[in-house]
Amino acid sequence: MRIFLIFSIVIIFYFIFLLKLFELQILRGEEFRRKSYNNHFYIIKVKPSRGNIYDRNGFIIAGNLTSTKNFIITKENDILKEYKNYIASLNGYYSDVMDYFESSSVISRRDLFGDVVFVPITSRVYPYSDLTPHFIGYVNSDGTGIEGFEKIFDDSLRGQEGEIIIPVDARMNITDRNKIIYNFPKKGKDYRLTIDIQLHKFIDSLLEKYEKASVVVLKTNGEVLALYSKPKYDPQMFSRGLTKSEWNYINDKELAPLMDRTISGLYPPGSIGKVLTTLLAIENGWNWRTSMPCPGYVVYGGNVFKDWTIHYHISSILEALEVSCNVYYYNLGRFLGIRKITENYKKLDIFRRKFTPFPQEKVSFVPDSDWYMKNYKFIPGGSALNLAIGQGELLLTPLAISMLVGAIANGGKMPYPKFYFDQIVKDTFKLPFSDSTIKITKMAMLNVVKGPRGTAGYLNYKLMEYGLNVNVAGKTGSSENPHSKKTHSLFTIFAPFEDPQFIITVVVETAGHGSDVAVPIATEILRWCLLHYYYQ
Amino acid sequence: MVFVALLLSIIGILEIWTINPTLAQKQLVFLIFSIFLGYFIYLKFKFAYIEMLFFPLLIITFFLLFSVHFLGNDINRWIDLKFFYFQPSELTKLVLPFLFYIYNPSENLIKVSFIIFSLFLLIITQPDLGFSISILFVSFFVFFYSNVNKNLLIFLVFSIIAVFSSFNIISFVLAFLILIFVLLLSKSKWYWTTLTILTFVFISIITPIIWNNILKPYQRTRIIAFLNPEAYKKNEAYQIYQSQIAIGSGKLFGNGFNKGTQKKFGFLPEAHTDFIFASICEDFGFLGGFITLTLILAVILRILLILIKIEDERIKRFVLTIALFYIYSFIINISVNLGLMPAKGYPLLFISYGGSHLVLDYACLFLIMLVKKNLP
Repeated sequence: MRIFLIFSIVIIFYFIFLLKLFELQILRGEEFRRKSYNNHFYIIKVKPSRGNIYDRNGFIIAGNLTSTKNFIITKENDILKEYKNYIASLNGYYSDVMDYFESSSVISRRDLFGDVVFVPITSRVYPYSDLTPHFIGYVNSDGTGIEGFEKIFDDSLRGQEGEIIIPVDARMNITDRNKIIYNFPKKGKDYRLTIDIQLHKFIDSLLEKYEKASVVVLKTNGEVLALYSKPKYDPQMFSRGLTKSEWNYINDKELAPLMDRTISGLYPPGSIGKVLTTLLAIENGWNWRTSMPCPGYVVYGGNVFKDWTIHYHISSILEALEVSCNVYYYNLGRFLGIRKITENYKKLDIFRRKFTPFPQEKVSFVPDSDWYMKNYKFIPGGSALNLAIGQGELLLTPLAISMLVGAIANGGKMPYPKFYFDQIVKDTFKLPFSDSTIKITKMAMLNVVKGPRGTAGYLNYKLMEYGLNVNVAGKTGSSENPHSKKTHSLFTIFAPFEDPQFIITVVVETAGHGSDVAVPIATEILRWCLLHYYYQ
Repeated sequence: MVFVALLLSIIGILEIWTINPTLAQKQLVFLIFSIFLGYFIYLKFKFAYIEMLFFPLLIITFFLLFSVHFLGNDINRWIDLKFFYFQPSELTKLVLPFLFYIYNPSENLIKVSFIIFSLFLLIITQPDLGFSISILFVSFFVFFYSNVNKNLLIFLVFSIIAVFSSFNIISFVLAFLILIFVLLLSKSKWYWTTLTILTFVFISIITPIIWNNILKPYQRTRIIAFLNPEAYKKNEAYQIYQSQIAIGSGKLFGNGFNKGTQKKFGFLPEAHTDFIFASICEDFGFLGGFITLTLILAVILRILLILIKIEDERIKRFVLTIALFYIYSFIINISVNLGLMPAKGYPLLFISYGGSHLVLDYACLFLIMLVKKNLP
């Protein structure tokens, strides 16, 4: 009886063991097999090189610097210590990242350290430092894109990690040298941008005197030649770590150097808004030949709306745009009415949609009656007049201005911006206006440059000096600026008039009138573009 | 029965061969030697010799156990015999059956207890916790079998349990409830009951006080290290973790013979001795583990069948003692391999690498064969 008791204990244990064996091998077998596999392979991850970003001519805008990272295959603390001391004696401090030739000297001391494996490790470098276009963005110290182009295309730029799989025993000795597996990393995709970095450099030299500015240069097929924004910053500093003064600089609210003013700077367009008014008025039946006296002011609803000068007589809408006559446009505003203006503007892509994939981009703004009711509780009587001359609450980004001008230049259609060559751009910005409307507006814009009283006459004069026989159309703008007496200086053009190729928009903040500051700068940029891409 | 044991040894040798071919050759020599020795015993041994042999054997064992304290290295278990390391504590596997053959514990309780306790002390100070507990384990069940005063057994067992259960309030309450239950079942006399309960409570109270207040920290670590040297020397959790990985990675059919990476590349410590079951499971999977366990169970159950046929009480105790050593090896070794118990070094019968235990295991097995031959 007692013997049976003793032996029943054995049988109970036998079944406990079988159950446990079942749990470990059948239920959790896969887990343990994976652990066993990981146990006897030492896996070294090899980071891929990030894809390069080239400009349209093949200059590297974002590239890689290569160094060597080494892994010593040992578990022995003594060897590890000696190894660290040896490297410290080479360059004064210990680091597992070094250049290849230093690493080679470590290989030569295999008698001391056993096996040491080297893998390349890259870090992001921006050769043009602070000239790098803002939309490129930057990467952090791990090489992950955290802003702009680097962020949006991070997945394809990053590439695929590789690994070296080394069979080892418990003491980290390599068990079979013929079975070391190299899975090479895949380099990230390279991108060739439509940007011309030399043009950026040139624009930068033109804007030396000004603190805040932005310049957009588009081709009429949508290719982006330049997206220049100032103040600048060097994206390199994010991958190497910020210093205190750099930190203060990029966080300065007044300067906002990280902001890409070309796509997220919202400016009142000033007289450039008159281009929109012109389109809308003619489309709605305004006879372009209508003449009008200009006494220098208009009285509306008990308020006086001033012009910037007295123009005496305006013979047509063409002359009104040429001289940028406010009185004429106040009357157009009165003719259209606030509802028509806001409702028709709202239908345009520039006030509805983003043109780029960058999250930083802001959409241009036009108020509507809901907005007025929300903010003022009524629709101010003169708001139609203010909107008609591009003041009031109307806000446009330089890119949106360029898109509008591009659409006019192309006869009503402008493809969305194209940033790199393989990009497939499906969207097109279409102006919902008739051909004749657009044609008359184009003529008016030509007069701004060519007309005898044109506000951008300087451009025509300069082209004569340079001997460049090109017809250019455009519009200046000076928008009021709450921070300073000086206005923002704006100018937008397309050229050549007969065969539009380039759209250039220049915005210089708190610099003066459009015709004084932005026009000379745009003139030089146009000349550069013509010489490089038109008269080849 | 010998055939099954041989099968187990051959599995062991094959497995040792995958880990270290030289050791496998040695083990093969040990095996052949063990079988010859066992067969010699089988042919020439008579139970009448036992009374004559017992005292010389006891004295030799004591002498050797003493001497390892002076001859050995850091852990004093082995005597270096040039060809192999002899482990004198294995001799107790022969001493105890002889002892219980000669003396009935219920009649010669003091004498028997004294011998057992001295063996226990000599072995635990080597230190070899696994083996010293095996002596207690075997003795307890033989006492239990041979009707030693149950009150005394309960008193002794629960006094020892009190020392360990007192560190945790839950384990204390649990142990106390079990004690009450056992006392109710045993229908002991009131003075035994009172004495046992009072002693249990007293030890439970005094042990934590001594442990926390009187002992200095280094003494505590010394005792822990003393009681469980393996755990202290290597990382115990690491051993059991690696053992579980080895077993688990075998899945149903194993990685294949000589394909297990855990034992081959040294991740599984002691793969050829204490953790040989894990390496078998790594190579041959659940199937291999199942077959090994079943073969061992078959040997033990075969002994049971022999045991119930024996009529002579002396021989019965003799065979039971041997069987209990096998059972202990089976339970402790497999539990540790499967991670059911903290690591204790104890070889797996017939399979683990090691000359001493193999020779003794086979010697005992052939003694049982001899008993079987003499059965009516």
